[in-house]
Amino acid sequence: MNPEQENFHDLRRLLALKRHEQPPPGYFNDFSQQVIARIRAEEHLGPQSLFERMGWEAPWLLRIWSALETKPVVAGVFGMGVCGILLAGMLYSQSVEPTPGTELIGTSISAPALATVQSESAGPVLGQAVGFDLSKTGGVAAAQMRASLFRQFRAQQVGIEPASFTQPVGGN
Amino acid sequence: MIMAEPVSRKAASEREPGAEESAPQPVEEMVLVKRARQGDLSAYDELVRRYQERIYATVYHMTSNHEDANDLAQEAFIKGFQALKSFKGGSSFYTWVYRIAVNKTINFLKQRKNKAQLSLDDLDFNAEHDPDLVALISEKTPRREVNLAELQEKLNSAMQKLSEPHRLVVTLHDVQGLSHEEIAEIMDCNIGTVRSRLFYARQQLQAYLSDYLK
Repeated sequence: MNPEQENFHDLRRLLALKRHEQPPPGYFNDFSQQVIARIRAEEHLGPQSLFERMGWEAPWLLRIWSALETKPVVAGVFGMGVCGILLAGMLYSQSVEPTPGTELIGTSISAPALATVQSESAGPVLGQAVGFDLSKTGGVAAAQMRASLFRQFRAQQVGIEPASFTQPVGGN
Repeated sequence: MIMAEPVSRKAASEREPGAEESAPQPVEEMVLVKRARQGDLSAYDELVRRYQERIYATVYHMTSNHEDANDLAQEAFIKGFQALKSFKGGSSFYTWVYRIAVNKTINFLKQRKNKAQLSLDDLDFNAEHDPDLVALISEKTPRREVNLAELQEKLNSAMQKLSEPHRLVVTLHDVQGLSHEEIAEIMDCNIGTVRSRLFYARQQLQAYLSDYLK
């Protein structure tokens, strides 16, 4: 007999006791049926959650998640890392100076499709008032406004009369 | 009946020459896996029946708690069914589902830390007649008055003091009778690691249970 095995002979005899530990009688009779019933129930519940599916597709994600759950040190380091990235991003965004002319980028309408739709639906008033060619994709240069939309609209308002809802006397 | 019959012994008994010729041949494992993968639940039911005792036993010996073992063993089989598409057949289905059960159990034990509660299965009738155990109790140990139930509780408490990987190696080798190679495959480590963990775990257990050993 191997000396290593001989040293642990009594321990192994004692461990054999665990083989005699038995679940309640009849426990395994319906074990598989319970498993199948739970599988059927979960199938009826529909597809798995995104988290579960991610677990199947990328088991390393689950390992990271369980490490975060069980090891406070890992969770702390992860949290500090996220805060560090946020701080670095904030500092970087403050240190970068905006270049001249970039303010108008947000107002430029560059999609030709949008331009067509708008110019067709708004008619000549909008095209004239805004003062840029909507069908062009030129961006910043085309977006420079010539006049206020409201001034133009007010000028055309002269001929408009308020509607009256009173019935004329003697009318049917 | 011994619940956790070692794999090698079981395999040997299945090949006994004296077995009846007319007995129906068990369906190939891979055929069942293929059918189960196509959604055939009766095929999966057959697979569960084949391995339920061993999977339950492993989880039970790891947790020393019947209710937890019941939940985890069921969940392992459910996860096994859901993940069948990713089973490439590189190992046997048995090893694969074993690995799922072991990983689930280890994750569970990490979360359960510090609130371990024993809920032990009863010892079967044969325990009192096991010559090894009878000898162990009747020998002149420092605790001669010990009975089997007390020994069972002490043994499980000692097992719970081991780290999960060490407990797993002792469970798979000394309780369930798996070979070092099988354990290495299940634990996804090399055989040397299995051997060293086994040696260390036995040393630890021997120290915890010194009162009950010669």
